[in-house]
Amino acid sequence: MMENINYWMKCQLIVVLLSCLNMNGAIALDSDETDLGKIQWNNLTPLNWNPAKVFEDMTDQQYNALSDDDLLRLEETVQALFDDAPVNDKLDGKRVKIPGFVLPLEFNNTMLTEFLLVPYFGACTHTPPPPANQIIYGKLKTETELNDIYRPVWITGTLQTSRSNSLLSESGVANGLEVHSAYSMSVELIEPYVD
Amino acid sequence: MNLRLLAWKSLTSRRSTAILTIVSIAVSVVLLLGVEKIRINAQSSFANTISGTDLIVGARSGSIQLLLYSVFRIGNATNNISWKSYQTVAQKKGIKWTIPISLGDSHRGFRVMGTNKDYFSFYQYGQKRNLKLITGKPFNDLFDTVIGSEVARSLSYSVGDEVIISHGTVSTSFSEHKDKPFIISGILEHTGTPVDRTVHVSLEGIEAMHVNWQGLVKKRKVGNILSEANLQPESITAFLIGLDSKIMSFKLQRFINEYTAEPLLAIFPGIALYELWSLMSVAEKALLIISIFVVIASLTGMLAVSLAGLNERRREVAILRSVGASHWHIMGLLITETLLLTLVGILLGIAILYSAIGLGQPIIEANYGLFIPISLPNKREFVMISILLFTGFTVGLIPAYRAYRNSLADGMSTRL
Repeated sequence: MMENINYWMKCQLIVVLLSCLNMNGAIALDSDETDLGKIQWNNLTPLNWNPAKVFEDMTDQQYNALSDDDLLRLEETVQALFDDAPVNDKLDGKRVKIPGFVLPLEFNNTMLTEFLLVPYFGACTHTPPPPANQIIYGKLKTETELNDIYRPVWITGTLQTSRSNSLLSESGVANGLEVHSAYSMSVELIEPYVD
Repeated sequence: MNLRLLAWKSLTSRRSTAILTIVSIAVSVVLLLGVEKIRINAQSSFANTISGTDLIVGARSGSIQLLLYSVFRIGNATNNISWKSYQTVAQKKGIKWTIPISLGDSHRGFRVMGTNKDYFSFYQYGQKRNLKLITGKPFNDLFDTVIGSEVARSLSYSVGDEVIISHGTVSTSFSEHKDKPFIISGILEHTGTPVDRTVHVSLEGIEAMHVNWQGLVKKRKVGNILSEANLQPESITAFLIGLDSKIMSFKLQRFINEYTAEPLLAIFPGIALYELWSLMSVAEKALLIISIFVVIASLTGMLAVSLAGLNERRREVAILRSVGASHWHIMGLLITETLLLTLVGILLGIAILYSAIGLGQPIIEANYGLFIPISLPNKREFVMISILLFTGFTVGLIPAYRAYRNSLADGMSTRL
């Protein structure tokens, strides 16, 4: 039973790890390239941000030797980093197009007016919640009919980075070095996702 | 004589069949557009009930069920959640406000909801609209109550009236707490949401109501009930959460869903609403299909009448031909006739539908809490009407073609 739990927790962590590695591979942003351009989720994280460092510093043997409690603690550490995830300042005020899943928040009658855009569907029942810089809070300029939340979409709009200190010290990890930050977008268009 | 006038005269000369055809089309239009109106308004009435709430938390069950009982007062909670768990969650950082909800009692068929004053400051509906009192003030005293507009209207209550609140949710409960009347301190503005049909009291009021009530595990002395410290609830049914930052909702949702001390469930209202619509869409599709079949039946009826009429009208057609009408005129005449029938049928249908909405509006709202506004047809309805009109035109082509063939044949034959 314990082994089973351990297995699942490791699975979860591997998912986190993989997504972090992906972020770590973020490419340098050329402003000409991204203005009006398509961006990927890894573009939203600054180049030097690497929450997966704790895992990378670990050998396979060390990792396999971790107990459930150790894993829990590690997950908390990573989660704390996720909560205080910094944003890519270069994207502030940029008009971009990005794919993702819509999580409806507010409606005007049956028309969607506000939503969260996340990189994968459901965003959190099976995996830890995404880092703060992997969620976009979207406000639609003109309300739109929402067809299907189970299918990915492209959204086009102007990104804004916002900062606030209020949530910073919950984990005690950030030590006031970096402020909690997040993305919001003034959304012009939601289209069904096609490659 | 132009074609339209001719078609009109021709139809009026066969008044009874024309009227019946129009009525059958009108009925199908009422059904088609009525189903669409109810679909749209049921969806928006659900969507307009809750706004600005980031998470809803209740006992672990299903997201739709939690949404239905906590916000729409449909059905009942599977279980309550403890006051302690509520406090633990409510004190997490990043939470702007929480609204506790305690359900389970009723007043003459209207649900009684226990809450606190934050409800009046933070609960939002429609597009982030706050609740407003039209008269009176929020509850201050233990036995104060604030009622929704529909409660006030249908029971003709006004501020200062005394009401008896009973345990359970049936309209005539046999266990009314007669010894502890509540006094109406305020009446809320009409919202078009279940709030209109709710009697609001303080959480302490709910507790006070059950003091010394048989079956209550913990008995308190009646003399102590006015000290609110003794009346702190042990459990509530659900609570709503508003956050400083929307981004935080994922994290808090996970914290709540993985809370080990008690099985709790946190849901995003937007997603639960969407799931509810998906569920409802099955029934809606069935209704839509039925109404489409009714439309087909009415158009087929029109076609049958039109074709049956052709034989009787051979003489009419022959006379028209003899005074110089071409084949095209004859075809045009028949198409114009069916188009006219369809158009008048549609207009009559719309008129019937709107007057029915106008008349039924207060009744539907009082009984089902569903407000159907008289609004212009939306894009979908316009498309439906256009398709119907086009189908009417297409159906008209069949008798037109037959008449064209007949007029040729009749022109050749000597016997008529």
